[in-house]
Amino acid sequence: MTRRGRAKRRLFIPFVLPALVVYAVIVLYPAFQAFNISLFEWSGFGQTSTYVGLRNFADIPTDPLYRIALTNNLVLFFVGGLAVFAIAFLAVAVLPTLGRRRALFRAVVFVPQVVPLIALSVLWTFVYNNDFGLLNAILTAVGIKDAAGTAWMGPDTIEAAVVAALVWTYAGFYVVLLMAAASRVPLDLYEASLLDGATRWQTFRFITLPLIWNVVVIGLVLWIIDAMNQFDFVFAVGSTTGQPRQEIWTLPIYIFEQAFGERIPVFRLGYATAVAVTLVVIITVMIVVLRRALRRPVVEY
Amino acid sequence: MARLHPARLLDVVSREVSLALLVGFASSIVLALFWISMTAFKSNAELFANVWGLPGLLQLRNFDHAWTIGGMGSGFLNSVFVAGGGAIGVVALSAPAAYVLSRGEFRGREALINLFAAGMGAPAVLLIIPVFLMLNQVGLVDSPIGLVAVYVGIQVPFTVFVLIGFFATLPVELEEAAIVDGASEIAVFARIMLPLARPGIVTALAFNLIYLWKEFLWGLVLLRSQGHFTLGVALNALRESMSFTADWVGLFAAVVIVMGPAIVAYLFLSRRMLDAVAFGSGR
Amino acid sequence: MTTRGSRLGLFLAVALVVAACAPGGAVTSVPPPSTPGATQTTTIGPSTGATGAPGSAPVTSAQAVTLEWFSALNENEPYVAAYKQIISNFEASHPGITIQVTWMGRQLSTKIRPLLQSGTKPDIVEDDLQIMYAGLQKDGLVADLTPYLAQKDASGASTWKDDWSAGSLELLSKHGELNTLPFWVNATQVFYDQRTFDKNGFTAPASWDDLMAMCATLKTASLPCFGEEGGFADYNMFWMSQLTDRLMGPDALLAAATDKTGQTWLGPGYLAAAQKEASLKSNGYLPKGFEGSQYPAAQISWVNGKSAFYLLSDWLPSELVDKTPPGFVFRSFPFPTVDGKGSTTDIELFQWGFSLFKDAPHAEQAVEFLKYFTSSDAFKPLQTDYAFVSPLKTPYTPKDNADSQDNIRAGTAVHGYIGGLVAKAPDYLQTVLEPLNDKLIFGQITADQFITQISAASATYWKNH
Repeated sequence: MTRRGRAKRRLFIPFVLPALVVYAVIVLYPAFQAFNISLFEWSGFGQTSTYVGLRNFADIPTDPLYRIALTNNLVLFFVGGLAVFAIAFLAVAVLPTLGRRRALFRAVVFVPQVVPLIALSVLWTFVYNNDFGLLNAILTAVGIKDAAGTAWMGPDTIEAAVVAALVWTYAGFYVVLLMAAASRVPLDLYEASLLDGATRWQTFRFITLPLIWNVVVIGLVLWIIDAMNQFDFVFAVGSTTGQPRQEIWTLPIYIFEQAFGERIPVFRLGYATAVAVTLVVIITVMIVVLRRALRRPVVEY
Repeated sequence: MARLHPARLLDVVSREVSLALLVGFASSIVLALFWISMTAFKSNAELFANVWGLPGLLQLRNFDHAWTIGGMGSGFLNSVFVAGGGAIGVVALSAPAAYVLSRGEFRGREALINLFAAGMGAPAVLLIIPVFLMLNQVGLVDSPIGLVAVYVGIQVPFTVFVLIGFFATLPVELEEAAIVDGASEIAVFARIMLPLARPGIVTALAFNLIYLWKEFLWGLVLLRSQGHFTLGVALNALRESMSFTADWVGLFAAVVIVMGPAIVAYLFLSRRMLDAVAFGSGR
Repeated sequence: MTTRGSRLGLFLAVALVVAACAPGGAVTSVPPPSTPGATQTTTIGPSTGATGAPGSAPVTSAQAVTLEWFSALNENEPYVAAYKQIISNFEASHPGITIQVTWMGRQLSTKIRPLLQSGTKPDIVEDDLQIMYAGLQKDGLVADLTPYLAQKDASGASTWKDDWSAGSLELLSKHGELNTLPFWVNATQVFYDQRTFDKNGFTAPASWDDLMAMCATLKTASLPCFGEEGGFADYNMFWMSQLTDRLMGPDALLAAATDKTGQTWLGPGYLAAAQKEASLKSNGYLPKGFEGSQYPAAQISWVNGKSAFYLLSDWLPSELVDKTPPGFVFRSFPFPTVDGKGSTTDIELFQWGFSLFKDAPHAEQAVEFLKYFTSSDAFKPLQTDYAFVSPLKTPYTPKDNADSQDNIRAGTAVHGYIGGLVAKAPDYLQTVLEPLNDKLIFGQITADQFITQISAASATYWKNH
């Protein structure tokens, strides 16, 4: 222990405590408070709340909407994740020798990350519109006349449409994340590998991927958080009535609808909080399982 | 031969196909931005006559409507206030904490870091009901100040975490030298470490600014009067009032107002932000 | 070091849990409702609202008050222009009273919650009465208006209560109290353009079969019979609601929905209703892509002649005020009888109105304003310019909605829209019935499957609630 390090102890109160207090008040205390609220039945109007123990949690397994919402979260995580990481891997495998254009590509694909999702939601609502949407316009322009009037936001295709739009929205972040990691792999390693007659796929599989594995795992953890907490985009896409179609509800949407009731009043604050608690548990379990399953010895270079 | 050639051929073909896919993906983003900006200047009649057509007369009226009647003007000011206040607040609060946590040696340091890190995983939907009730008791619902407080609080974990990483990369020797010269701990932080950490601080500011500019759920739940809406919440209200106006071009003008500043900021900060993602990937 | 570190974290965690569970947590410590008189405006002065006519007895500046009014309308809705005119007229004739409207949109119930527990006390709230019933009224937050209704109205010539057509207020009575003042009522009607009838030689159909025959005629001309906002589950419900009403009476839908065993759904009338609803799509009477239409796309397409009929509540002409193409003549008829059953004078009604908060700081002035708003001359523009059908006894005919007003006046019985489920079983409606009804009207499931599934889903739902 250095003298300098010890000296910083005196700085704890002026330097660390303010951040800790704000964090405790806005995040930690409410997080624990949430567990408390989840044990009550409460409309949020008036003063009456009833203690119901774990009954809110007991109701969850047979709740069909919970199942729809959780399924959508998981579809987004798995199917969307597959697509997002396929794009990112593709970029990592194909682009390392591309020079300056690489930087441009990186800068462009990151753009959707800085745009509020609600704005992108408006864009995609128009893209998918059955009467005058861009997608139908493109499809009819390339000769698929049957496409005219197709309701992409109809019940059969809406979930696929939402996942596709979210892949488009999020892929850029993971491209940048993985490309950054790959750029730290010395270029001569690629060149040597390619010279040795390895294919690009082999180079990616046996050289790049092991070297960026840790970052891939970080990326997957971030994707769990993005996919499971998805609210903004789904909330606003494909409807103008203040409530998205149930076919695409995610758990955060379900929590919002149950707690704050939107147009048709539901007002189940206790139950909504119980659902939120299960969401936290699910996210935590997914992260732990993923980290365990993908743990590999770190490869040095 | 049969083993090598197909693989090689496939490699070339797949490289071209992959490149085409990636270029297509990037082009779709550029195209989307261009299309939105173009549409925002059209009239509704032009839009529905041809969704791809260029605007005839530039309809500045769309922006005027979105800005005044659509509430994007006050939304803009509110967003500047809450995103700016939140970002500055959280960095001011987190930088000293991160400094001590990254370089101090005391009991419970790792536990504290873990405690901060744990907050990064707390979903907004878990906190939103209790925080709502708490703010309610102190009269800070529907208040930009209340929203700033929430923004600062929820961004502390991420910001502390990022800045700990930055401070950890700074050389110890400079500090040692300054202390030998008789500078106080606080002076060392303010005069030496903070300037050195400037790239990190700017990055943390930029990320928080953009994140809070994008933030929607907290605003939606906490703000109730139109005069207090942030841009995202105002855009949402405008989207819902589409039911009565069917004014798509006005809506896209609002979209431009929402995303324009973020994209302009990104043009200036892209190097730093992309590098920061890269830095994050080195964790 | 590490062990101690995690112990500190654990200690903090435990401390926070203890703090969270201790009495004084948010759930148990919500501040008690402030007692009347404890709010910032303690003296209101002599009541001017009780007997004062508009313009008389202006309030002095010392008594200047701002009424807070929370409306579930969006500021962009066409008729809000008329509201604003009414407000400024009132303010001009009542110096000292300022009206502050917050246009909250349909999420009023979401946004109003903070107010109920924070310092600000609104005076007036305006919303869908079913939603108000399920929220504010159920929790006892709105005032009993009976004593005010016994006062003189704005003209001073008659009792305020008599400004409503006979019996219309009692329909909303709850526990002997009148908590709401309906001023806008909407009957479910089938809307059409007079020109469509003229062109095809149609007359208003007497029965479902007549209506379907008209659809068949239109189909030969490739015109979809009905516009339908498929993306809006509430709107899709009007079919189920009207069909079950005609086949089995106004309480049928509520009875099935609230039957804890789910068995009621198995009755033959429900199957017949489901079959008729499903036949719309299988017969090709709905436009292509209606499943994905985004409100208000379908009603705008309809008013522009892309489909012939539109089943909806009579707010439709009000919403389309500035979207109606020249030459379009709004007409409507009530949902016809089905299989010889039901009555067209049995009205499915959506009601919209005011409530007064129990804790309203300016109750007297608020009542004065409400009296003004419901007086026929003040209210007139909403009828003549914006097609409002009203239970108020005014001499004016609502533009574009005369058919609906006639129908309401001829009504022999009324019930809440969507079977009253919006108030009585909102969660069931939203989570169980609407998703299956969507599948039915979209043709994803057959009528038989619908009945089997709704019966089973109802039983499961009620086991948990």
